Amino acid sequence: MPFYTEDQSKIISNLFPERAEEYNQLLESFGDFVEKEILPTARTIDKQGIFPKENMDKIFRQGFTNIPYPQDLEGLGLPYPIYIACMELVGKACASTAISLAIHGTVCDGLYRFGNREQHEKYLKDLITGRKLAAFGLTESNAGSDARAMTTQAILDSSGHWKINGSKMYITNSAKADYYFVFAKTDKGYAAILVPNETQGFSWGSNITKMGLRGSSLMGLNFDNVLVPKENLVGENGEGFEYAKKMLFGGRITIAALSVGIAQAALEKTITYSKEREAFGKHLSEFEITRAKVADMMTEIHGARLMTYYAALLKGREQDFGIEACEAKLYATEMALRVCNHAIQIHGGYGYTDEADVHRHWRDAKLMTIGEGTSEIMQVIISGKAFE
Amino acid sequence: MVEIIVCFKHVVDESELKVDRANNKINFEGAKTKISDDDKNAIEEAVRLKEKNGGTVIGLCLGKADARKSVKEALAMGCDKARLLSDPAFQDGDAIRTAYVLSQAIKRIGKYDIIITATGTTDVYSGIVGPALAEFLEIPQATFVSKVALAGDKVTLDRLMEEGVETVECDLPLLIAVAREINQPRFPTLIQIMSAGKKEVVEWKASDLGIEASTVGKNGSLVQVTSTQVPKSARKKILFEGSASESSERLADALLKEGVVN
Repeated sequence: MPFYTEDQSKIISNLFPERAEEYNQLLESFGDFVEKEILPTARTIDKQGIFPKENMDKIFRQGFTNIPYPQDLEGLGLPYPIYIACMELVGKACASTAISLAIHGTVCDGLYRFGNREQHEKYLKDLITGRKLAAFGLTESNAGSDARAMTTQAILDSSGHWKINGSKMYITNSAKADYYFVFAKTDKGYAAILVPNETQGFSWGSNITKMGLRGSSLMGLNFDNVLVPKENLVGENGEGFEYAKKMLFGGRITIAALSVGIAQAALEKTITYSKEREAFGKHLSEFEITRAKVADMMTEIHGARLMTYYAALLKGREQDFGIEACEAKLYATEMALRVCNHAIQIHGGYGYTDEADVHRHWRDAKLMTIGEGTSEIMQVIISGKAFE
Repeated sequence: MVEIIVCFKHVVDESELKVDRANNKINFEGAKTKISDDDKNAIEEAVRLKEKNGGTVIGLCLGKADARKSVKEALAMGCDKARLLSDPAFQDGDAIRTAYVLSQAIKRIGKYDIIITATGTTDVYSGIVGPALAEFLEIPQATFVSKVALAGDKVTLDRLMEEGVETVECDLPLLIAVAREINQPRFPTLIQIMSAGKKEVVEWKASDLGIEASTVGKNGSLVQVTSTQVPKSARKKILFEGSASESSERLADALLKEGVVN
């Protein structure tokens, strides 16, 4: 089976009929690269909790983050669904690598949309090309889904600096990132401020271990009278919360893509295994009950992929995509859990062991229903549309 | 500055082939295609030599129109331009006819210092095309090459022998058939793939190369492929009964007899 799947290729061909051949060759080649360079590292990264810096650098060199940005920012100027298709491929190979890239990508997106020309030149180019790494600092211990409850505060002092005090929790890429896109309360509501990692008074806690995505770096951040120049404010003071919401809407498409990739990996392992494993004198693949499960897995993956790529198409065309992104995330992440559950079940006792490397996908998928807005928050947003 | 021509073949992806168990035949329908794996080593070496010494690399591919995909990939890997030899007359030729067509194309290109091929291609692995091409061009050749060092008009080569490495020196021009151990082919970046579409690709037919159609391809070949079959690999399923020590001894004997262990 080619790593870049036939289903992906057909969707891309039909989204971009005039450039189908070009885009499919790009994605096929990227899939080939991911399969040979990233996939073989995934188990070790999970088992030993290694931060996938090497993988990320390789992927940056391929031009991954550059995909959707204009050429004057060292981007490739390609449509957003191409980026999303690549994200799916990385998610399929190594979800720890993919989540670290996804968060980095969310910051790039925010800085591109809300940052000024100077910030584009000074920070964004380095982030797009992967010369520098970014983290997104919104969540706090007592402000998760209820992000407005944050207490981290930024005050513009007389010397022209933002003075930040407070702490953040569960921040991906902590300690590894060069720039932190931090949200804080200000005199006008909320603001987004860029904090470089070497700033005095800025520190992080120890790595938080977790059930899945074990290679990604997750820590708390502490701000003790941290001073950054007033130019590090992104966009308008007072608009920070709106920026966070908009960035998360985009991030949700990447999480959906990542989930589709995880589910695809679990499906492919299941197909291979069910053709090899025999019971009652037949291969598992010959049992109707196996086939029914596989059919459901394929159908759900296909549905989630369509929703995800469609949301990406809307985002790329600068149309409203918020609800579609939430729907794609809600469906794709819960779908990934169901598919991974089937995958473990079909693998039987072996599927429960570390040796089979199938439960990794389930463990990785679980976070997808929580990060970038929980499934329940997705339901609140989507149903809000029905009752507005 | 070094002028390099690298030859590569567009082949079916052998890892994607399906076997029709009913008649033991390979089903080529809808099979994926790619650049032959070892030819990627040839392209990689050509590009590395250019990067180190300056010059140009021309990719040369004989294949059907769908070989354009492989041509683009070779350009993405770093070839500067490409020539695609595509003519129904060229199809299904044996290794000697293939080498002849390539030699005519190289004569048309004219200027070169080094021609690089793989030692063999992943589909048929005849290992003949490289050496035969050198003969048609009347230039020296080195096969199984695992290292290339260029200094002025001389090139020093390591040749991978069964039990050791032979180092030879040769004047330019020459043909080098590389071993897959020579390098690790690069993955072209997205931007390299995108810009490959802008590089020059010229298609040549038999008439462009002054070749009489009847002398090449299937008609001009001495070797005709009559059928392609998959080797049968039936399991013997031998059961050794008796005590553990008895049966393990018989198992060991059987393995020795079959040559599985020695």
